[in-house]
Amino acid sequence: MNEEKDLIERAKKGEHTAFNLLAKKYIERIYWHARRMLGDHSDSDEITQEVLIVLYNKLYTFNFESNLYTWIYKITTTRCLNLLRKKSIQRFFSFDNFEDIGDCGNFEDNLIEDMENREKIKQIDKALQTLPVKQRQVFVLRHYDGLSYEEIAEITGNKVGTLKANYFHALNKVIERVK
Amino acid sequence: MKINEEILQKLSLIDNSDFEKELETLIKLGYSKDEIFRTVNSLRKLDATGIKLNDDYKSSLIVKVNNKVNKTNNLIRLNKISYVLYISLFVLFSIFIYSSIGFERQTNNQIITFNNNDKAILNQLKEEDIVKSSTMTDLVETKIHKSNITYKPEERIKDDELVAIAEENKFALSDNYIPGVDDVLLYECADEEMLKSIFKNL
Repeated sequence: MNEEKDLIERAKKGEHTAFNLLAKKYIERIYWHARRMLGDHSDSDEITQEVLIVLYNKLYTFNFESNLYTWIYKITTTRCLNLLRKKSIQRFFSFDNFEDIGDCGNFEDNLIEDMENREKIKQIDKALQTLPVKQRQVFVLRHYDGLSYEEIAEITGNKVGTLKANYFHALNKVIERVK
Repeated sequence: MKINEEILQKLSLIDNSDFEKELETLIKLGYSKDEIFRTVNSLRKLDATGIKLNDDYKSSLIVKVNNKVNKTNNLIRLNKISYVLYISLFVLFSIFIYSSIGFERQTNNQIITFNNNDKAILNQLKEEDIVKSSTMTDLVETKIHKSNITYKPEERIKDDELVAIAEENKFALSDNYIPGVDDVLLYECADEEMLKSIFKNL
């Protein structure tokens, strides 16, 4: 924890190496959170870069009142929700078919080496994309990112009771889909 | 018996090591073994703990971010420089405008320097004939070319009197005296007092 604090302090002072170490530490969490929310590699890639840039530019405002990862999840969640909103508007006005989500072909082969895991990711992506956004958000934060309801409440601004209900509904639906 | 919210959450967060123990507890509570296995199996399908990103991909992402950050920083620096340039240009322009106005004022002050004799001449000119002007040249030209100067008949000096005045003041005429032209000038300025003062000043 102290090591992370030291890294943050150094990155705040503009030290690139410290920022790169922080980015390396959180890049996987950011990518997978975005991936589960969006179900698409290129969007997740874009969001990961955006979040890291925001982290670089706004790190000086971080005052250690919360955990850095809560702060990062907050930025990632907001960005993902904004992108989903934007996409739903685009989909409304577009004649294109948006059904093929999560199929990134050869590019994804380079991303994850294990074939079995690649198939698993596709399955998870498909199952998660059937959930409403709010349920998906809670499910991803709780099930995959392992955050407590209190932390999720801090990130999403919802009450713990609502989050628990959303999680239960989401879990039930996902289990039904993958059975 | 359908698995309720609490059990489902417990199962979703359960480790492999705890599973056997939890399974026994749940069976004792009356839950169907098949139902528990199906749920746990589904949850395992959703498990993504073993999935990691390729290291090369992670590094390439960090490089992309660094490039974007550097590009943004350069743009910010360029913006700052352009702001400074704009402000400098504005200041220079303001100084130029201010100095131009100052120079104009100074030049005008230098041009309009009347002595007492000039003032006496100007006082004799009718105020309505003087078009306000900034230079002495303008004053003289206005006086010469102004055609709407009217005089009362008794004020107008006769030709022979004019000649007499001119003869009387011949010594005062310059070497550049041009017959005809200067006479016209004198005639146009046909006011005895004024003529005398002009000759006096020549």
